Amino acid sequence: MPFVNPPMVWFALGAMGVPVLIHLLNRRRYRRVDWAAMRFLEAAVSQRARRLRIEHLLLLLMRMGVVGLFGIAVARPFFPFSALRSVVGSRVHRVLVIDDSLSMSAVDGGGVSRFDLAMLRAREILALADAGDATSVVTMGGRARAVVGHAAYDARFVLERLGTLSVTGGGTDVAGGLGLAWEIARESGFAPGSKVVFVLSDFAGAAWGGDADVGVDERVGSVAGGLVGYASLVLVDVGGEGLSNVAITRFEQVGTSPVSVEMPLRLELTVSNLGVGWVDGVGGDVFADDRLVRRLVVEGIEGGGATTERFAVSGGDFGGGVIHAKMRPGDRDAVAGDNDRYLASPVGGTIDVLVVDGSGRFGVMGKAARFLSTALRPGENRGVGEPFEVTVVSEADWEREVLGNFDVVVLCDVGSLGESGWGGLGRYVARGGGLIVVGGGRVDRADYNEGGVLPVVIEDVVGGESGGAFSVSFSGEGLEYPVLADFAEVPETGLFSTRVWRYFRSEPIEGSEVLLRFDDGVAALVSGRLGEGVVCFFATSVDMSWNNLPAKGDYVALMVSLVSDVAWTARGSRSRVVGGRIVRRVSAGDKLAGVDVETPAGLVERASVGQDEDGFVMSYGPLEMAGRYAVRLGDRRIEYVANVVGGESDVAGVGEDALKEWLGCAFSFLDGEDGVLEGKESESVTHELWAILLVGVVLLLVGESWLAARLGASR
Amino acid sequence: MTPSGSYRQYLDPSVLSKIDALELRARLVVEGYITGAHRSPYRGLSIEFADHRSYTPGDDVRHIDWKVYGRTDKFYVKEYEQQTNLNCVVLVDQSESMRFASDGAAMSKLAYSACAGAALGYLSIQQHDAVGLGLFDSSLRAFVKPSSHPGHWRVLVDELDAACRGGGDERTSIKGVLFDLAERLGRRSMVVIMSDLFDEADDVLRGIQQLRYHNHEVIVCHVWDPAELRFPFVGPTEFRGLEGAGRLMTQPQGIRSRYLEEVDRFVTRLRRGCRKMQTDYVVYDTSTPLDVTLSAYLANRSLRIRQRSSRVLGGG
Repeated sequence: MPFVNPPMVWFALGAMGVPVLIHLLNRRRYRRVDWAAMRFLEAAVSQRARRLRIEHLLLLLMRMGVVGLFGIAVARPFFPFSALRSVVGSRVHRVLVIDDSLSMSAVDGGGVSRFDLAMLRAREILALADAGDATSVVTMGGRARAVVGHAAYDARFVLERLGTLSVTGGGTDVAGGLGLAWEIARESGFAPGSKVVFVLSDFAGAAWGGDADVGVDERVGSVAGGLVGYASLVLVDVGGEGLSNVAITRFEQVGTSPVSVEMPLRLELTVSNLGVGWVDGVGGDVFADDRLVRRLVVEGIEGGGATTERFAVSGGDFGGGVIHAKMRPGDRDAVAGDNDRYLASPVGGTIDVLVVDGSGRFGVMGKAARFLSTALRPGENRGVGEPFEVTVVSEADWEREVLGNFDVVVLCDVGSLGESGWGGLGRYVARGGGLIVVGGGRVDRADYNEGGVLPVVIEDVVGGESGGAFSVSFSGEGLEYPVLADFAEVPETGLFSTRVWRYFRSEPIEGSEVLLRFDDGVAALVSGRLGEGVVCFFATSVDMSWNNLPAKGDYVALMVSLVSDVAWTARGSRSRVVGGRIVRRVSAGDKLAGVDVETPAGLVERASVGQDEDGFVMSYGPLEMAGRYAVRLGDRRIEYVANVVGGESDVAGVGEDALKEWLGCAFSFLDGEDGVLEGKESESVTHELWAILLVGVVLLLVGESWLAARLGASR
Repeated sequence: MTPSGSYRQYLDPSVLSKIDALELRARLVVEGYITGAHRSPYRGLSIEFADHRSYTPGDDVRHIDWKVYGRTDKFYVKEYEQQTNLNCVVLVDQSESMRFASDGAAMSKLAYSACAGAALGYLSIQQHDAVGLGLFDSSLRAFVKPSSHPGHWRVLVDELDAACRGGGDERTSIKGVLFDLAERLGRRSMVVIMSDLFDEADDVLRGIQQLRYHNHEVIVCHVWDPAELRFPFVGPTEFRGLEGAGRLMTQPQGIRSRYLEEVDRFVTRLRRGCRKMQTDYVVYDTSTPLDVTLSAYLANRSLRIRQRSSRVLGGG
């Protein structure tokens, strides 16, 4: 017989020994009396001995029964038969796990969406509730959340909360949803057999293992296995079949990163027909900061097919940082939410660069910092606006800056940063920052290596003085990095005629990429990912101390390209999916002023600001809809975008067999269009016996009292 | 007959138990008892007037009642109940069961019986009766022939004292003892049996019957410990039987009524048997004041003397 609290069974069994123990102890504690009139005693006892023994045994058994039954009642046994339902009653705790992901917005021919059907079934399930039944609600679109996280006994309250739900643009957080249901079921005071988890979903393939042929999904299977240990699992399929859906499944920038509005931004957009029939040509528009920059016409697509459009928009077409592609697939499109895609672009915005000057003295900027900042802002002297906002700080002052305000941090010939300095930089990069480290005579190799942020291990310094015999140049062979590809097209340009007489020999760590080499084969520019950000290591200096690169015409272009590319990566991290969060570091002033976020719906909401060891961090989310979000930091406005999860566009559901294989646990599978839930649920519900057991305890207590009084024994 | 209050305290076993010397105990009992007796109408302590009859030649002229002669001018002599020299044998059970004293009891059954026996002996000798003593358990262990000599009482007391201090562990077997005693007593005697009689009731009665067959008067003093009559135990108790009766562990509350029924049945059986044999049967527990015991004895003695003594002239 299963129990709600199995450990209590062992406690009960152990406790049953207590009366026996007391009995034995009492026997050991008897008093001894010398007695002369034994003949009468023996005569009295011989007549009653057998009866006394039986009565005492009965008393002992009753006491054991009282303790044992009480313990077992506390352990709360239950059984799956409904025959005694009228006697023992059965309260049921229903946990509704509602899929409000994007695919649930798919509308059938009758104009009813899957989500509408799921809500209808949810209300029907709620209608099954008798007095004493409880209901909880969990959603699994985007990031799973508990809408009614406790066992709510008021059906009207639950209905009210159901009424607030709508489809999100997010994916399906299957593990999260089942995990929350597991947690609720585990914490519920109802017996396992009296807890039923209903999952109302279309069981779209992308989220429910349709693409996996590897058997049980480890994470989801683990959660589902845990869940069925506490509750019965009923999957209600509200997905229809034969729906047609056209969606933008990919929209991204390709090729060299543009570094100014004059440079073209190359984009690639893929439109997929995720339905079964042919879809005629569809039209679309591309906007940059809400300004139409291009019209698209996509040819007809067969069922299951896709077509990719490549196009470029130039900076002259727009001045904003967010590009929005919108398709118009026509009437046969089941899901409307996946016809829009957003892209955060560095073009048109300002790239904030922090240059840490390691060689400056007495307020005079060092050469490296001066050369670099000049290269990034040549227009300052010409009165022309440039995309870079460069801040130069000394090695001693850089830690006072809020790194989160910068797209790129450049370490120019900085000596040592120490453990705290590297720790802060590492966290900055991991959250999506860009870091460029350039060589120089002041660099402390050991400190850099111990920092654990670089994509290389610096081994030693190779070369000598500028007039020495040793000299290498950059190699133009095998260049694939987009930033450098343009330089490779013209090998005779200055970059490859650069004379380098000193550099750091380094060994790239695993996972990093060598973008540029010296002609002796040693890595000159190495890039590596760290969290959401990127770190580049330039093995020689950016001033004239170790090479003559600043004297070359390509110096400015190389530095601009490099910083822009790193910044692009940082900006790229401002793309989110629905259900994600916007998290970035802010200053103390921002915290005091408050951080607001503009949502795609036009609302302005206040973000929460917390604190960690490096300072203040704002957090906003989960993002509930696709579109543009703007974080307001004082006068600054930082754009983020959120896109729907691509897989949600595939509205084809997986079957019961595939789910069994993927989840790896027992469940009931119902077609949500049938609406026959009551009978199915009763098969899953079990009944608790504790009430009967407590009645038994009371009866035993009465019997024990009567017998004890009869025997004259004190309890 | 009620002894006076000041001496009454010396008859309480709880007081007597604090006096170590049996002789002193017995004297206290008797003196206390007699002091009270002066105020009582109890008769039989001295040679008593019985009747007048006409003087016939040969009668001692000292017994002529001159007062009657003065009123009637006829010679009458006073006739007295003759105080025959009564033989009294106190038979005390010294078996192991007699040494039992429950918690709170002033003295053991044996100590109580010894004290009562010594007091009887002292009282009897004071009345010029001959007193003997028998000590028994499974057999008659000691026997002191009756004598009325004043110094004889010390002998009795020494024997009883020795019995109390001894460590006998024999069980009671009274039938053979009474048979043996009946043979030993040549003259009609009064036998006072002081025992808990933890033997078969039939055997006890058969032994008494044997004494009665030899024309001995028998007074059965059935001595109990108060706990044996009330069975006041509570909670799990192991009873360790004396006289090799084994052990028994039980819940006394559960069997108390049954036990008391058994005791009552035994006592009733003995009482009826004794009544049939015109034998006095008295139940005592060791908390009973000893004057009650003496009273019973003396009442019985007086009755027997009246019934059996011949009417003789005083001193004749």
